[in-house]
Amino acid sequence: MARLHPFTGLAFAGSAALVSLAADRWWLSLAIVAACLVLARRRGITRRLAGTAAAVLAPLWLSQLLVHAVFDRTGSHVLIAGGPVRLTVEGLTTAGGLGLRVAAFATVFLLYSLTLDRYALVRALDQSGVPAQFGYIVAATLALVPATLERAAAISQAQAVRGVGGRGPAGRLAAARMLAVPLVLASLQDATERSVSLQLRGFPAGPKRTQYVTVSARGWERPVAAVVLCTAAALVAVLLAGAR
Amino acid sequence: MSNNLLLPARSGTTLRSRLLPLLGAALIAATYAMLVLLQPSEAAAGLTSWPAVVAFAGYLAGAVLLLAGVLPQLPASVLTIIPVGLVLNIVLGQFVGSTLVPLYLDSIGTVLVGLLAGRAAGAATGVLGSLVWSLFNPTVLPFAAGAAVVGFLAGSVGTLVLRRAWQAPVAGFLAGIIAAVVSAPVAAFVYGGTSGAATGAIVGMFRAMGDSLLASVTKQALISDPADKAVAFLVAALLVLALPRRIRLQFPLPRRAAADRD
Repeated sequence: MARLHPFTGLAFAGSAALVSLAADRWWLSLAIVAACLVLARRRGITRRLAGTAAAVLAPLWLSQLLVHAVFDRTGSHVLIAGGPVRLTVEGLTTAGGLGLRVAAFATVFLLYSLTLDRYALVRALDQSGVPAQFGYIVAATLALVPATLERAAAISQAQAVRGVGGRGPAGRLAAARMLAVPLVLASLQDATERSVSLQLRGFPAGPKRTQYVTVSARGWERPVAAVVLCTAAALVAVLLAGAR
Repeated sequence: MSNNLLLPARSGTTLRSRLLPLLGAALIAATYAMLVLLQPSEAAAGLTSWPAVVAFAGYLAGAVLLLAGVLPQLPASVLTIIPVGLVLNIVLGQFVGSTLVPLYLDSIGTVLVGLLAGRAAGAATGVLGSLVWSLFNPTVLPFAAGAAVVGFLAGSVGTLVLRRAWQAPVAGFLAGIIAAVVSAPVAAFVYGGTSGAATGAIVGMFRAMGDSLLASVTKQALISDPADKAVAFLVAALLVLALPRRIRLQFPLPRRAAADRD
């Protein structure tokens, strides 16, 4: 997926996610997850994809288990019962189906995200004619996440050297305040300086901007992405009409 | 806040910038009404597919329309603080989401931008937060409309809250009720519950009492969201007030609050 134009990858990922959501078949969700794992293996990121997906999905699965299976009132095949707890086969089936549906949705987007060249995405956004502000915010946020984490670690270390904080809730609250205020202050100060630089350069300039590096899609990508999107939309419409 | 130094300031309020946010808000409201009025009995099964698609697509499309209308109006000085808010959301939300606390604390950055720069910037930060964070955690994507509502409400009460900080948790509590009602259908229909273990336990408890899925998720959201937003509004207001006056007064809402106080 990394070699695809960012929008082609997004079209494929969005189509797969929407079809799995609309079809709501456990085997289709499972097939999409398996396909994502195969693609991840080809790119050598299986472990990263599995780890990230597990971190994202574990709380969701636990929630679905608690909501649908552990306190199920309606199922007839009871596995465990005691007090308010009533674990049933039907509840487990519902939770499993929902879990797989969410897993397909999350895995396909995570694969896209992990294989995405984020700088190519920003350039593609800039070329595509969406407001320049959107491209700026995406680029700035992606650059700021690691920078802010680094700055937070540096501030924490500096405050620890000063002996800020301590044990107990009051100490932790003081430590959090002594981290948050300089972090937000420094981030806003930087933002203010950046805004002057942007204004000096007349941001956002008109729609015609010179691109020093362009991201281009290969010849087949645009028609194939269009076909995939149209097929997915038609499939979703048919599936939803059938479900009603 | 200073205007562009080289280019004349644009008026920015075109028909498009007025129409798109209205269309977006109408689409979000229509999606909510459709889900709540037509679907409650089927929701109990938890596995029907069309409400999931409608909740996902309707809310997301509405939020994107809102963003398309609002974003071109924002000046560069407001634009540069939005990524700061987004990063705060991502860093705090990712951390709290993995703990067993029935709060989210993923909107402090959105509220902060709303309190500094107003309704439009707050709503845009909410939507952008969901779009950009979905690169790290795709499950937040359908909650874009709820996040926009929080940012919009933060901007609406900004001047009031910055004049009297004790009103921040009260405003946050009320905003949380509205956010809970807007976001509950997404949690119920797209995810069949909630996106966290602790909040899932609360939904499970209501289900055990015989409530439908949507009713259980809405009740859980009405417990978690007001408390969560009360904390977010209070923390964001205190952070704004803790900023040096020189920096604080560069932003429109603190400047208005200070002018009202003087």
